[in-house]
Amino acid sequence: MSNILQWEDLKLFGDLLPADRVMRGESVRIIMNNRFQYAFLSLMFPDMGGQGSLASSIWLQSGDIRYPAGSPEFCLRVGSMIRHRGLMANLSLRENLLLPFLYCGDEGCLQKARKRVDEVAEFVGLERLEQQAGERSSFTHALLSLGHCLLQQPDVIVAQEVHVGMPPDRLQLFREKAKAALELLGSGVLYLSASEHEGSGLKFARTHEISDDDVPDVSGIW
Amino acid sequence: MRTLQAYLDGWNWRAERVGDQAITVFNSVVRFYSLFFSVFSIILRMQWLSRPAVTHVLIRQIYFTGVQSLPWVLLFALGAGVLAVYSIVIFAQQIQDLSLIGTLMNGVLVQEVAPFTVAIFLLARSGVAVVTEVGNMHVRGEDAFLRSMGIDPHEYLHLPRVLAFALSGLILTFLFVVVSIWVGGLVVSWSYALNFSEFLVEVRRGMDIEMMLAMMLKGMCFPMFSCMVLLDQACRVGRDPNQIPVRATNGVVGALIVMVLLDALWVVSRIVL
Repeated sequence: MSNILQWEDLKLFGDLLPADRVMRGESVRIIMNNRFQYAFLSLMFPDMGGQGSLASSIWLQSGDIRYPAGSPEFCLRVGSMIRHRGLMANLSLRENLLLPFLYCGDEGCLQKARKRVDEVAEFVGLERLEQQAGERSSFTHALLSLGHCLLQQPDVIVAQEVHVGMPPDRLQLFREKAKAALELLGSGVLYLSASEHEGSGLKFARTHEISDDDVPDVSGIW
Repeated sequence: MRTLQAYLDGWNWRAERVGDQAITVFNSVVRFYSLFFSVFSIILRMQWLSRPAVTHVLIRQIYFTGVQSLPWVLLFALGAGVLAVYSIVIFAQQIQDLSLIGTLMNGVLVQEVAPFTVAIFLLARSGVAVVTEVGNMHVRGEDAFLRSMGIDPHEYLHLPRVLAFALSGLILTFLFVVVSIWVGGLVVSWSYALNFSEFLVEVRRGMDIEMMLAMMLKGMCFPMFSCMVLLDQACRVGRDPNQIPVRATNGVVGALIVMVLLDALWVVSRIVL
């Protein structure tokens, strides 16, 4: 059964983001400045204590079932790659990769992820997994996010300016790895970017654009 | 006319200040209540027990807050605790009423000195670490990372620290009392002030189950509520690293005030009930 990420018409600081959906294998892009992106991400991953709200304006449609944003099922099926938000500094790289599975508490999933973690780390190019993560570059954050997605195998990945802030050689390397990973996963991608030159190299089925510089500062949220 | 206007402006300014302060205090209480409610509902739901990610953090926090503090708390017990016991015995002897030993031991050492000393020690040692660590996590945006993974920051970041403070406080307070009384009794008997068995009989006479419950309750609640105040301050760091020392200071002072208020509440409730 295919899962589809959907949202209804959203008012972000008075501007309208039209309702749309992202299906497996397709890429959709929303061009808006960082403040809109943070507001959108806050709706996508709300602080609800893992409960989700049925009134949520963003949800994952799986057949007749609707998983609201913030619910555990939604978070299992929707991966995230957010710029410089890919790790916990006080955990090792291995613990970081396994964190969602260690949290979810399903022993079967955890064992499966434990078996695959070395293979995934090799695929994305992460070494010395027992080392504490600490402060890392945007490139390592992006690799870990990609590693999470490969382990989690989500239906849709929400990426936020994940290609921004990398040196050109690393950007090229990451683009290749991300492309190979997406071919492997077949996931849909919702790409949030401030510019149409976001550097992902993806072919987008649709692009929405919101342009308004006169919005309050909410950068503290994300 | 101008003087009257200046006078009214002065009062307006004062009223505005009072209003601002009242709103700030009200917001702080609401935020603290929200944190308290979230953490407690997660504790009661018990799902955290089946989540290795949370239990790993809990074990690390218990090790850091409880196990690593143990030698220091024992040292405090040998110093402050034994001194308190010795002073109580000498005082009781001076007024020639040995039956006061148990009562004073209960009222001063077990119910006040032990829970307060342990809570203040945990606050000074681990409290600052909690604000710095959780504050830095907020600065690095790790709370947002957790949310994007479907992980509840209250469950993963706050609950293990609150539980570790509560459990460590309870056990360390109990150890503080035991070490103080036993070593204090030995010191008293070595100094020929009182026979050790006589000392134990007097201590036993002054103790009851209500006193033990009060000690356990205070030993657990003082550190637990302190930790919540510290976490509340850590959450307010936002993305600004300059806020970490400010919030650490506010957290420690706030936690001390909360402890004194809780103790006052305990005394008032005992008088009323």
